[in-house]
Amino acid sequence: MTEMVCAYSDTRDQTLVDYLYDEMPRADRAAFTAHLTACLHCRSELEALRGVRSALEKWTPPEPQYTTAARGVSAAPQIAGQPAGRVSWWRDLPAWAQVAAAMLVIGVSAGIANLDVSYTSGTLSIRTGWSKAAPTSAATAAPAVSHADLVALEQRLRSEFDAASLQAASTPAAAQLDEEMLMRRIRALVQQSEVRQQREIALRVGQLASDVNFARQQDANWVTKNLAQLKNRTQLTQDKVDKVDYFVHQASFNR
Amino acid sequence: MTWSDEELVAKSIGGDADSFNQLILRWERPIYALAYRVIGREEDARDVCQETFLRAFRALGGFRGQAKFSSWLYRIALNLCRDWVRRERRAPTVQAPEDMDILDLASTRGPSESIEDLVARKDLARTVERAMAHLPEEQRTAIILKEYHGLTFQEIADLLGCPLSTVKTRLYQGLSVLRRELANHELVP
Repeated sequence: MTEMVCAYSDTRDQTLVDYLYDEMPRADRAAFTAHLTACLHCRSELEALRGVRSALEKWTPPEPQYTTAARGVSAAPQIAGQPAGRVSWWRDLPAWAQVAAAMLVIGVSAGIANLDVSYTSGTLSIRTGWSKAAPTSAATAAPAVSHADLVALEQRLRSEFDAASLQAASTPAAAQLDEEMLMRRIRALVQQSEVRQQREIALRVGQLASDVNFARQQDANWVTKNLAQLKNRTQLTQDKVDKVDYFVHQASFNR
Repeated sequence: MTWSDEELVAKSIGGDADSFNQLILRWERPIYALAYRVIGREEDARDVCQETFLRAFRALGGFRGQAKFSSWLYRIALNLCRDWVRRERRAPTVQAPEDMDILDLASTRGPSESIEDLVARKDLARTVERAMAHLPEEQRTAIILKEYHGLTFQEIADLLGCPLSTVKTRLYQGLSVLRRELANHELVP
């Protein structure tokens, strides 16, 4: 015979939780197992709570898009196996080239922004004006760099580039290997991207189908419900008509 | 060689910054998952996760090892989550990062899992997330610590500073609410 209302002790809810998570002494567990065989109420609740636990397993948080370790809470060195941070291509350039590039960027930006820097009467003033025409006074037009300086810079640039080319040529195998590795990585990335896109499209289609089905089911439920209401109202109206008809008939009969 | 948490803590206190980085790598994901499940917002969970490690790093000298390092870390994270909930003065937001979720799920799809199964799993996950968001904070926290972090009742009680019986009651009540919510979607009997 099974119990419809549980007559377990006051700690029944807690014992159920103990049992659910298997965190109880063996003897207590055996006792509650024996109770379960007789108590339908506890048995069905236990089954439902197991279902809840099973559903909870499906909830996974999204992947974090960063790692705290890579950012570094401290000035710790890079850990082996940890993906290295993005290395910028410009780090490979010589320092002077980086400085030259920075100066170029600043110069171009200042030019675009129509930056006017002046130091007069012991006061430094910086003005910007996108619409203001650039001053063309003789003082500002004076060249700050001589022709000889430019020639020297050009020569230095050429020698640096030659040296870099020579270094690359001296290790052709390594360079080729790097190139092959790079191409392989690019191909792998492209392939991964295609797979992701295909998955996403398939998933979106599946989701759309699921949403359409859900909406269709809702519509069907709504139509069925309204039809039932309509039928009910029709029946009520019919009853009223029948009643009126009956009274009319009775009245005419009495006369 | 794999160092224990406590050994890595000792080395970190001794000035070995790499050891603390190893602790971060080991515990970052669980702490982030805890924060995300408690507060329900990806970006804020990231902030809480970072802040947790930052605070842990600053307070490392005061860690005496009475509790496990993970419990200590969980406590910091939970306090930060609680601060967040109080500051926001609201229940956790159910975020629906559609694109992220889809890609995330698509990438975790098993080779034998069909798209229909995947969609069903995603729907279920969303329903669970919404149901969890309806729970009071203390019930939600107890369930998260038990279900997703595998803590014992006693560990949860220590962490939340409440009696063992309270933890069990919170779990029972929370699971019962979830049961009703999920039953509305015909997901449990």
